[in-house]
Amino acid sequence: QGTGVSFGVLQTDTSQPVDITSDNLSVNQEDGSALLTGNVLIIQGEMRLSADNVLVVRKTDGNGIERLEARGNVLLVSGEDAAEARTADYTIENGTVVMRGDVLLTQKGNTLGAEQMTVNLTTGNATLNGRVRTTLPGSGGD
Amino acid sequence: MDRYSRIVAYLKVALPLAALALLSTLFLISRRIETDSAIPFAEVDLESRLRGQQVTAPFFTGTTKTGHEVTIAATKALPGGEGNTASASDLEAEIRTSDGRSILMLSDAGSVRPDKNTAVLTGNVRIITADGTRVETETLNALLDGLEITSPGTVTATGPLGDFEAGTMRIFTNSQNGPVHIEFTDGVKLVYDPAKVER
Repeated sequence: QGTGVSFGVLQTDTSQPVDITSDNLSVNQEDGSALLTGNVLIIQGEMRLSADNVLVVRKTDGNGIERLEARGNVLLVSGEDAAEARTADYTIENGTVVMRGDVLLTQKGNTLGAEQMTVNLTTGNATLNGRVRTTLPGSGGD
Repeated sequence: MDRYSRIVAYLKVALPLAALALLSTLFLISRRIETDSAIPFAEVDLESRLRGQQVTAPFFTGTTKTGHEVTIAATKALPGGEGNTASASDLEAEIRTSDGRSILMLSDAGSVRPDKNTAVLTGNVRIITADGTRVETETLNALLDGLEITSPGTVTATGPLGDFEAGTMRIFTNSQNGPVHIEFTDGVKLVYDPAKVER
């Protein structure tokens, strides 16, 4: 079970090119894994994911990226919704972002906190689970 | 002697003479082929060879402290440039790691300093790494006794991860027979196109 909520711009097509910028990139020749470190910013269509460092996990057959594992104050922004968490794993193929570690989702003024959030970028809906809490604006709120 | 035997006797003399004459045309009258014609040789090559010493197709191999094999080959090398560096043209250096993966470096020119164990590759340097990433840069400094290749200038690369550019690049291994790392620093811009891979 989990709280379903719609997240960000609806259909982000995850077959668009992914632009990744970072301070440095270290590629391990043996297993081919690549580690981007230093304010990494990943942009794909409307989605922007920024984090301290991101590990790029390659597909088993070697070419293409299987998953991006972002660590360290991760911020996912899509349209005017934003979600913060400690870690985020973005599987490019099916366009799902799994965020863990005191997730904070802010959408048009109200915020939702949870332990984990799974966003499906293609359909645009997100499910939060694990101690979901929300703050309702007081009667005087705008 | 009747006519027939006279003709036979006459032929016995005439036919061998004719054969002899025919045979001699093979040697006496045939065209002379003069065998000692000089092989055509361009003078300019001679002068350029005489002017300075030159090693053609030089070959330099060694193993680094970390157990990687280094091979450097070139088409031509001129010894003792300034500061006794041997300068070479279209250099090809290959580093084979202990588990058989290889990093290939090609460049138009380069200089090798065996006394300092360094080699500098310049001029449209291309590097092909073990996982198939192709990196292009302008200059490359390679350490010959350890595995430490740095490219001070900007680097553009294409590989399984997509196309990217970076400020500098360093290929190194930090432990004996440890894995080889390639580090791109000073700002990395990478474009990965999932569509291109699926097709």
